[in-house]
Amino acid sequence: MADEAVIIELLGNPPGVPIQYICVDGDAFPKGTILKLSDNREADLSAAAGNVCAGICAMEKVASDGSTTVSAYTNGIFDLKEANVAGITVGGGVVIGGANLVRAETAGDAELGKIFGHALATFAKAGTESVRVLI
Amino acid sequence: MANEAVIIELLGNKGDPIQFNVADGTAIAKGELVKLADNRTIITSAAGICAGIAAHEKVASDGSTKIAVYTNGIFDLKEGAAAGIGIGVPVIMQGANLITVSANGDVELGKCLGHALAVFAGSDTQSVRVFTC
Repeated sequence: MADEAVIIELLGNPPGVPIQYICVDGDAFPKGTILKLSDNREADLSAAAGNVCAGICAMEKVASDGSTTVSAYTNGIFDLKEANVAGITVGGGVVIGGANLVRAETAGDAELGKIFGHALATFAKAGTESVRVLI
Repeated sequence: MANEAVIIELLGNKGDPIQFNVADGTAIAKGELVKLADNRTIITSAAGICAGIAAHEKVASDGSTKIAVYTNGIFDLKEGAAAGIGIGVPVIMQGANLITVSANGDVELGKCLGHALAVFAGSDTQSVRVFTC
């Protein structure tokens, strides 16, 4: 995959406040992958706009390595890429916009738990900027 | 009371407990979803704004007027309105130690206490990522 999140600063205690999720042994997650939340506290690859974010993958998960858990950062500042939809205003809420991509929130996203952070800089369309992630 | 929260995981600095005021005569069970009242006071569980989850038992008229509540963690909570809750959807207090799905406007009013980590079928118990105050 490409466009993984880049750690700028891990906040909270312990740093980044990682949460452990279950995953499928066959899953492969590069470190920095934006993970989506699936049922039963399971994390999976973010794939489509509007997925609910579980966090930023804190480790590499190699496919079929025998592991069925993965840690995801839930608190920090990360560089993320906009999904080539539109710019994002500084301070605006962001949601998953595709695989490892973000886009600006739209009406109703807050009620569905889709907003996972806010822009710390103005995003140009398809630009990469810092996002305050807090899940 | 019944249906107290069950700790699955305490996040942050051991659940990031916050100290609140409480009336001496109030009894609070450990794991109770406590409601926020004026002047940083908590009262027994009911629909409203959630202060957190009681970190210890408070016996009525024990002379104590302080209580610590967890504000950051993963807890098993029971849905109380026979409503399904989608994955990741914010939840609110519905009644005594019960939660339900948030409605439009709840986010703006600070009523959301966390989000579902599993799909709730309705009146069942599942894990919730709690993050209050």
